[in-house]
Amino acid sequence: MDVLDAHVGIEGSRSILFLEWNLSGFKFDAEAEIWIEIRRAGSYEYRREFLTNFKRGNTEASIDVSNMTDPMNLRLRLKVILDKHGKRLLVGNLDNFVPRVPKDSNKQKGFLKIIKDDSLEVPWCVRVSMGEPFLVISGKKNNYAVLKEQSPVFIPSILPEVVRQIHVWAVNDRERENPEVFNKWKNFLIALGGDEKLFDSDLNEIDDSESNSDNLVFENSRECAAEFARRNSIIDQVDFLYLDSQGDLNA
Amino acid sequence: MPNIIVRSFTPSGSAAFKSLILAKPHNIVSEIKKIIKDNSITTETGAVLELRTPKNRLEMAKILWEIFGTEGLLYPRRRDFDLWNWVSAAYFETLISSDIRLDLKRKIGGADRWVLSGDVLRDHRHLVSGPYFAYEANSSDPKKAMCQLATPVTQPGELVERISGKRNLASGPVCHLATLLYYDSEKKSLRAGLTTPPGNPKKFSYYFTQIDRTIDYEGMKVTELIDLLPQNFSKWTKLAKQELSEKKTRD
Repeated sequence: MDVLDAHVGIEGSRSILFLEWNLSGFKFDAEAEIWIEIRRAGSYEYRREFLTNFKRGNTEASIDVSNMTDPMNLRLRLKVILDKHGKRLLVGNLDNFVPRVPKDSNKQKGFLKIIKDDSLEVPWCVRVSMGEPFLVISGKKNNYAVLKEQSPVFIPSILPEVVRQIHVWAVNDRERENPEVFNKWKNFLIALGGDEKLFDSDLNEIDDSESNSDNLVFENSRECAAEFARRNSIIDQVDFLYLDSQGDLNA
Repeated sequence: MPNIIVRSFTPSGSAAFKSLILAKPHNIVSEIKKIIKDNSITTETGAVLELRTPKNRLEMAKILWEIFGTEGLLYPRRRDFDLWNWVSAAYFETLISSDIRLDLKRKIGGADRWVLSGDVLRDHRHLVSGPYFAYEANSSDPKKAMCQLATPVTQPGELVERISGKRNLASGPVCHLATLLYYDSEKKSLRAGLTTPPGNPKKFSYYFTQIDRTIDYEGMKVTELIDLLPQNFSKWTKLAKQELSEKKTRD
């Protein structure tokens, strides 16, 4: 790292901007402050965050940028500011740099895969195959094409219920047929408020009564779904992979 | 005024709309009415929009905030150009009729006024999304952004061009400063003679561009910014200070 390193990473359901800087090669006043300005390219979206001052000497920070429209498309400006004579003098300035993002984030295959099933009688359902949950959309009456076209509205409207059903599956899936997929979902659900104990323990250890266990799972799944719905921006972050037909899972 | 079901253009729909705007045929209103309902180049969104004549850009923004704002159904799609193009096409007749000028071609103007293209230097000129994004960028207190919201929708004017056109001026304390300088909150209109030098919006924009590398003006209070302005703005700074002291008295 020369002066600054910046990258955006995904942690659970959040997008985090990681910053590391080394300004030791420059002579700045001990009182000077370091600020970062964050803009989304091509928009008015703007945030500024105080990082540190030279007296404190921190050299890294992480900032949650999940509430920005497109956290993978940010422009940063690092400012070193000295308050002098009632003016905030800009004594250092590194402008318009782009943080690194996860590789191929735009083309990244999402962990919720959507498939079409021509025989499905209801518009959609969640189905688990080989230890992985899928959102299945009926192919009847061209539903799949219509809903895919309408995905910006359709997906957000059903997704909280999909998340709730996947929560129930994840809690009850004791076979862990696909541990990698299971762990992705587990982390995602925990980040939404899922109770870690439910995923890792034998439900009988939590409560002897079967109906109480069911209630616990039901309540927790509803909480996760509600949290998911509340965080509108998360909808933008879950990637979807549309597959042409059921069974073509490697597409 | 009627409520209409909001649709979105497909890319070919946006192209058809742009062709009409560029060609400006005498029957443009009826042609646009046709294409906004054409199923082959539009898709439904599920949202409903009230088509009423907005008195100014603030009212336009408020109408749109109902569906594109943080609680609105189309919030996740607020960066969708084809959707904005459809909304501006749907508003075309209403806006053209509200414009008191006689020459239809002048009322229509350039394509930037109606069609979003993703060009950061021009998109603020879009008559429909422009007010919305100015409002969104200052949604914590839209009154501070009246410099961008006070004028009629079809005639935004010089001040909007200078402030909305520069992202670092379009929100925060600088935007508030422009409002204090050039907007009369009692008369609820822009101050007379604001485009006449010295101290006009053009010079305001130049001044902040000039100090952008030396002063952290985004981090200063509006009262500090007033004192930062050079002498040639004195006519306006007096009014701004008066405005602030009256506000203090009222509060």
